[in-house]
Amino acid sequence: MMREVASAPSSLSSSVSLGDQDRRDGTREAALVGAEPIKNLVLMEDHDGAYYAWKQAGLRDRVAVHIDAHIDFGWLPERDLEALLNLGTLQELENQSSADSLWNFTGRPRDKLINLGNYLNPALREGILRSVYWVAPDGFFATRGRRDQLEAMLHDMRKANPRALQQIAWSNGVLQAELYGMPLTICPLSQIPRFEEVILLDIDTDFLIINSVSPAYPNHDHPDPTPWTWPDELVERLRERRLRSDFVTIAYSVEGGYTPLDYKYLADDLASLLREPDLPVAERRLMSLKREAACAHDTGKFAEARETYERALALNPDDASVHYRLAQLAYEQGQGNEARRHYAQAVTLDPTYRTEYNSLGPVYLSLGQFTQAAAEYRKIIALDPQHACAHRGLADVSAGQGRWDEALAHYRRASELRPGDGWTHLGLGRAHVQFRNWASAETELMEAVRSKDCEGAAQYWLGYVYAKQRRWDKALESYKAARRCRFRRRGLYLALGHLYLRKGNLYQATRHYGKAARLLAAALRYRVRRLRESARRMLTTIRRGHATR
Amino acid sequence: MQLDKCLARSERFAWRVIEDEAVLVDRDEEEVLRLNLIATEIWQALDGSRSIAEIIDQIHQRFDVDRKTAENDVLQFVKELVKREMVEEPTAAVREPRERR
Repeated sequence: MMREVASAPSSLSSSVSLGDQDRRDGTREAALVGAEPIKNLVLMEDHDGAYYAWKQAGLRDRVAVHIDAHIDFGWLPERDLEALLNLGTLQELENQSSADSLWNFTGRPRDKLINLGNYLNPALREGILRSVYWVAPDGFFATRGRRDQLEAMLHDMRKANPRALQQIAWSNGVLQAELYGMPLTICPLSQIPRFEEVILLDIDTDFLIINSVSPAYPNHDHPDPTPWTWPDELVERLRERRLRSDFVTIAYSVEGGYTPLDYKYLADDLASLLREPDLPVAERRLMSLKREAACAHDTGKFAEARETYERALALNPDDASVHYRLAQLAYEQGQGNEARRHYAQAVTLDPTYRTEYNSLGPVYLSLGQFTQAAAEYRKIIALDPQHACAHRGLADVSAGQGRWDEALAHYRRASELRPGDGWTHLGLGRAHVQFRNWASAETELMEAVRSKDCEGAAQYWLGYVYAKQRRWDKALESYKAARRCRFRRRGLYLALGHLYLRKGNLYQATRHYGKAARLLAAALRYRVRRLRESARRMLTTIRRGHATR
Repeated sequence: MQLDKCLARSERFAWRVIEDEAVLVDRDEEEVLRLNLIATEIWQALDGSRSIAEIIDQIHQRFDVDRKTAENDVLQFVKELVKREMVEEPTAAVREPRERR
């Protein structure tokens, strides 16, 4: 197996940096998790920060216990395609071509391709880790169907890179496999072994929130309103497993992750409990009150929730999470002024509460649940009328529902509040397309291209605008630019097919129609699979219904 | 195809000659292509400054084939390159060759 040499910490490009108190020589004091204070604990927004933190700390050859609702092991290209050009002989070229490697076609350096969905991959490949235990939420193992889904996920991963993922098998309720020849174990917390050695503990806050593996991993995770387990319970279970760790990483995973902002504070609570197992009574009381209030809130007991939040605020008037929840509670009860006051306090105390992800709007939007998405965005606008992302989200909802007049107005408002936002320009461009205002559409889409936020989509729509104006060469250039940005959509290949056909280039036309057909077939296969899974779930429910009758 | 036409290799390819064969990396199509000896000679000559007729002459002299055969081979190969958009009309300023050494 090929291992790359880890580069020096100074070359890291991450927002995570270790504090002065964190030792960087790869050896540190181990503590019994949940019983003794953890000295080295790093909190981060995106979970790939763990990889950078491990790297900066000089850790090597370690076992990671990855507690998360997601495996975070996406594939990364192993070889740069242009490295082929540096080979000395054709025989070497033959050998490389037959090695069944994942090649980097993106043109971007491989270290720029590391993200929160694949950071365990480089950690294993670079020798930081030698084994990973993915502790998934208990619900992932609750039924035969869910265990099958976990296994299916590994088989899907294997299809993309058969050589690197092998030996997938269940053993005593634990799913095992080999990743690049190194052991991967997927198990519930109750099944992790008694480790002799000191482990790296790596926790994602969404572990506390998501308790069911989704068939369409990872895009359709449903945000459960209330955590299925809480930080104190998790820490207690970790203590029972008698894990010893010298380095703990915890990701909030709100921005583009799966932790609702409502529950971002659980990461802080978790960190407090791990850093200080003998936490002062007042702090434990505060955690307990927040939990009681959240449960009351999520079950519609608003008066009880409010009273409990007020008691929590009495213990700590500067707790942004309580102000944030009180803002929502007040909004739900029609108390606009109070809602805005608490929201403003939350944002002042912790500016990260003013984010695109401070509602479930983006989640509902991605699920196509427009009514719920609109309600979420309206709530944020009521609390914070200057919130550009919420206006843009509302515009996206209107666009999704085909109400383009409304969409245009919301996009314009978003653009006033945050000029230069690429996604807003893209939305404006698409809205102008609907009204056949080709010149305005072109202007907005060019702005979107310049912003680089959404270049592929913007080039695609620019191609559409040019094609509608019969500017065929410009249309072809834009569509090709969209393809270079890896905007791979059936519509793009069809459009390219049409344009090549018009040019009389049958070869290219056939190629692109073929690609469109393959994407259509893949989409159909995906739909059939979803339908089968949905039917299987319904059948299980019906059977269970019969059994309990 | 007009023999006085000049064509240049598309910039979407990174390429290099290894043991007399050109290895082309197509970044857009995510493909690696290998050219044989004669195709490599033609590919290298397509730098935007030489006409098709000049390239035919070059092949005729270098590989000791009659001019008609050289013309057929060059035209067939160049048509294939045009079809695949591997070559394009050069811009006003002739591009520098992008071979990596």
